[in-house]
Amino acid sequence: MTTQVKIARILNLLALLALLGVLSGSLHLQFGQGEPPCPLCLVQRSGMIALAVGPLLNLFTGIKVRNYAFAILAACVGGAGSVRQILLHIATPGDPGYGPKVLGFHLYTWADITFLIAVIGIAILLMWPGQFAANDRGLLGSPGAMRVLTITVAAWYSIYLVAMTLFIIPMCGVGMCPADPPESTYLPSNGAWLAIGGAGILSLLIGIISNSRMRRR
Amino acid sequence: MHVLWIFLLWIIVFIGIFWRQRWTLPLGLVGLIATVVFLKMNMDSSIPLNF
Repeated sequence: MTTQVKIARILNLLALLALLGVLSGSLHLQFGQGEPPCPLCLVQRSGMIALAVGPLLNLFTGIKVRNYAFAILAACVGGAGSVRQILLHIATPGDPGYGPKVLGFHLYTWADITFLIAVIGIAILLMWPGQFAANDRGLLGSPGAMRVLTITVAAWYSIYLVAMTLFIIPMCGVGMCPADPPESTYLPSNGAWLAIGGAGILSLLIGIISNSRMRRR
Repeated sequence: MHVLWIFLLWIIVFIGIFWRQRWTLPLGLVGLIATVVFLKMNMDSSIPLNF
């Protein structure tokens, strides 16, 4: 494996960790502060999940141009949702925006910034052909810290995805989701952070156990 | 279209990632198209920003 593939893997992993941070913040707002996601927020969440698919495939199956291309498409879809929501609140005079602000911006503005950074970052990565020349087949065959971290991150995303999916049912039922869903707090603020940390620890355990089982085979 | 199906689709895509299946990326594209359809369905206000 070349150094270029190693660097590309680290960059993909860092991108996944940054995206996990954004998703953790939105889940904390939902479960800890009683701010359920609106329909456009769900579009952006779907875009974030899709955005993670490209880097995860790069790590699991090898660095490929098509995985980066998929991530760009995902960022465009998620970005369309967040731009729509930004414009919606700009177009209505006196509109305070939806949900609380984090560091001066609403979550949909942060989502748009995230999607934009993703497109720019992937475009820069695509200018570097050395990572594709090595015919990488993914890191599942190579034991070590990177494999543990990759499985940990993938498991963490999976836990978030299942939690998001389960909580769509009480929020939307079997019909259309309400445009302005009622506030409902599931956990105290610290409890929500503990749940997020617990998901991380559980994912790390899954990563360590999977890594040792793969080594034994 | 119910948003629940989109998220269930993403769960299947993640299973595909773990099992390194060839259908993962095409199914992901279906998920993206479904997300765009869901976005379009929620463009119901009268502001001139609908596409």
